[in-house]
Amino acid sequence: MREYILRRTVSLFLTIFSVVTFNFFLFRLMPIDPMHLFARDPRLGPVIRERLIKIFGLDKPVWVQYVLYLKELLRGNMGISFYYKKPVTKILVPRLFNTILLVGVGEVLSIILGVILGMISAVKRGSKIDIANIFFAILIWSAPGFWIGVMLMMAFMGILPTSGIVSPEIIHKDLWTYLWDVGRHMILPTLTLTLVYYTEYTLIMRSSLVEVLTEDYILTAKAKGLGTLGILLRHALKNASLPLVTLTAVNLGIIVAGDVEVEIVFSWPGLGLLIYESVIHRDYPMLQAAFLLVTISVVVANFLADILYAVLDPRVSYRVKRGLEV
Amino acid sequence: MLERRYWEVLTTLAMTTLILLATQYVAATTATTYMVMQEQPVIFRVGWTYDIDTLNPITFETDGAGFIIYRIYDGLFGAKPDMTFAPRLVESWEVSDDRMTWTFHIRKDAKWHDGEPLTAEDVAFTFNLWSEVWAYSAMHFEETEATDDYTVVVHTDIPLSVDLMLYYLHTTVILPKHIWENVDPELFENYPNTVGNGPFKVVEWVEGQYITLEKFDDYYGEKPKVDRIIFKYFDSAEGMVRALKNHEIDFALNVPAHAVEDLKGIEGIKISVLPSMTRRDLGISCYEEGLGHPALRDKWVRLAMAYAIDRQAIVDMIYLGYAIPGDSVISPAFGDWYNPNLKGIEFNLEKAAQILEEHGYIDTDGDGIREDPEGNPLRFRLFMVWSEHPRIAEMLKSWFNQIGIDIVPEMMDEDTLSARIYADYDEDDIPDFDFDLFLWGWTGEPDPDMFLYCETTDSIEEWWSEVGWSNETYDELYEEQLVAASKDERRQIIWKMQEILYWENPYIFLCYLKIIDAYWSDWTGFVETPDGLITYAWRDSDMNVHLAAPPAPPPAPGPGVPMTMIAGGVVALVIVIGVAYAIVRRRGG
Repeated sequence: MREYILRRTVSLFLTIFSVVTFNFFLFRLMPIDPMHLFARDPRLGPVIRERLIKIFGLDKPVWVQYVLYLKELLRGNMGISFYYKKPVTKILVPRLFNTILLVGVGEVLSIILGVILGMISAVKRGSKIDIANIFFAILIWSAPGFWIGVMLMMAFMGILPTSGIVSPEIIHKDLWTYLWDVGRHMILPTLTLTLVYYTEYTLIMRSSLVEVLTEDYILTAKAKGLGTLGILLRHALKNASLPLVTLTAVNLGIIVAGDVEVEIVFSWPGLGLLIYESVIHRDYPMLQAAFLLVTISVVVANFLADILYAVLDPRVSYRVKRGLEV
Repeated sequence: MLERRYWEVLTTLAMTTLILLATQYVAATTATTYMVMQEQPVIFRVGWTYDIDTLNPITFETDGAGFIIYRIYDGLFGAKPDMTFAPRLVESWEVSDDRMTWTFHIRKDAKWHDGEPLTAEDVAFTFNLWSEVWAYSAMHFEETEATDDYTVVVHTDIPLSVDLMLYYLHTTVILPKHIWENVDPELFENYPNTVGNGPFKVVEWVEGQYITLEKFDDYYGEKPKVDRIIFKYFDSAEGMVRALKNHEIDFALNVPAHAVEDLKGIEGIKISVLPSMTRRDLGISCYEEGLGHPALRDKWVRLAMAYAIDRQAIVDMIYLGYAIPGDSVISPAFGDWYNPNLKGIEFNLEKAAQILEEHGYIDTDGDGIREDPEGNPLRFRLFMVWSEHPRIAEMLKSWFNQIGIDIVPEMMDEDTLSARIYADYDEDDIPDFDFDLFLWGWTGEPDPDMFLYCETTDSIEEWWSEVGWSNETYDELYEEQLVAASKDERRQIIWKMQEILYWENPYIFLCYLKIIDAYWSDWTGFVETPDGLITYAWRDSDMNVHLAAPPAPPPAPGPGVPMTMIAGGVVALVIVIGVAYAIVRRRGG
């Protein structure tokens, strides 16, 4: 087990380092020289232009920029945004919180809803409930997220706010009115996200549970006189949850990256929207930092999933020990 | 054994998530400022699609930033809706006979947002700072000195035309010396200070979301009628229109034409359609040493293309009639500056073909596309940046093909286009204009000077010219209008310049957009400016906005039905999980 974790940790850091390097050079390969970004506006005179170029270090060779970038990154400095001309972290961190709040809640809700519906479907497989459930899930799964968002928006027009995270005109008297305001703004985007993601969990939960429920040991458990709920919780659920863990780990990356579609439709100021805007603004330092955050969280989530896998299924780490799998 | 560990892992994960969310809430709330007010303030909410990059008056680049900066910083003069300029920070002023020494007496009651008095020292400091870093509005300013606390003397290097001087003074926002003099000159490009002297001060700015301005109580002039004004940013115009319909905003700035029909049916929403200064153009690469198609350097090819464009059709089909066909570098909204006598180029494909024929552009290989005398086919790259451009390109292509010109459209974003225009592959510090044609546009300023400057030869080296066109007579006229003795004389010169551009066609001016604003009718007091109802350059445009009737008491915010439903759901969920856990515990022993 220890060896397994060690191997995984080493590969974690190697992955992150190569991503940092790849990210850096990726943006230098883009067809636009950042120096030209400051050329368009006639209000910006040549003096300012030159100073900006100097501040951003764009007059130095690329490899010097790379070494500087690594050095500053280790100190937690992600650079200055080309667009906002402020430290990237100042803009990024609040956006990150907004995204984790929205997508995190949406993800948790969709897991709960998806697992429960998937369980019902698997137990009652073949019944009308099962068919209705699968039909509805596939229907929603095929609909684009932004479309669901717009439909919900139309349905709740005039009842719930459709844009932003707070109403800037409300002067909040205390914490509760603030939370109330944020909560109201969250309902529609969270609902959209829950609908978009729960279908996947339901379908996967159902299929893997159906497989497990046909195993012999389930029959044995039934023969012992255990109730349906007991069989589900004690014997079936754990074995059926492995694919679910993988899916959750993959989706953890989305929690950080944000859901661009939903964030744009609801003008939710999250990381997804920030990435979209930064692409438009050609804000390379911002994009670099955002990509870095997203990759790190995906890699770390996968790392955690690997560990959790080994905990749930001891065969995984044994196999590593025997050299069967790396 | 394993059973328990499994549950432990799950509960730990759940707890961590909860703690994370809780800290997030606290972090988010502490970032907001709380204000307790006795009365509900009158707040005007504007929705727009302009983003703000920085509120630093020296380095900002976006229109949204300029919009806000003009509201928090006053200038010595300000534009009026009739295209003249009225004194703002100035009480009285004199100019020497040679128009090179300008004396301004500053108001004694002006204050900074932090309470400090505004003096001639601030003005002199700003002007000298501007001429040090700024290329445009302080281009002709030399040393500025404060002769006493409230008198400032500006020297210019040429006898500037009075209108132009007033325009420069409108553009030049005055900065507080006591703040900016302490800023390291190497860093002040990024200095975020917003202490200004204008009618509004900044309360809160959340990047990419909204900015809240509050009326400045010590403002010397007439104060705004609203207490606060909020500019809320939308990524898409559709989102903005939806928010207007949902009454999340009171005013939608610059509504797209296709949304008008939708909004017309809604009771209580008013729509204002006004001519604007916004221009849509077809830019043509004219630079002699540039990388554009060599045939485009011939004015006859450009003229033939101008004859081959039906501007009215573009207005009708693309802009649904919410535009005016274009002919000049400035729109009719510029008032007297616009030359109404530009006549002669009408949509005429035969004439266009005839011009090409007469000047040696003949289809030698019979493929339907003409070749220039060197044998290059007249096949031009057309760069496009906005969503309506592909449809314009289609129309252009069908007309141009009929006169033996072909175009190859290519979609890109604005930054890529500007990188192509200003590409400097040979590193001689002069752009290489690596394009043939582009579709793009400009928005307005209360004086035609900047629009006219962008076609001069000097502007090529300054990286302002987008097309690299150069004409000696035009350059001379530009210099003349700078020093014209009277407004009338300057207008005559500017009319001549427009005439030259009309026949030379470095750009083909397609149309001028009408600006569409929509708002809820409980608001009134709007002023019609040459660029819409609430505008960038007209600082006064939102000063008189007020509620038509006294505000109704606001609905008390607080938990209603949905909240109790959510709470109920959460409680139910906890119970279900608890029961399930208990069962497992009991069975598992």
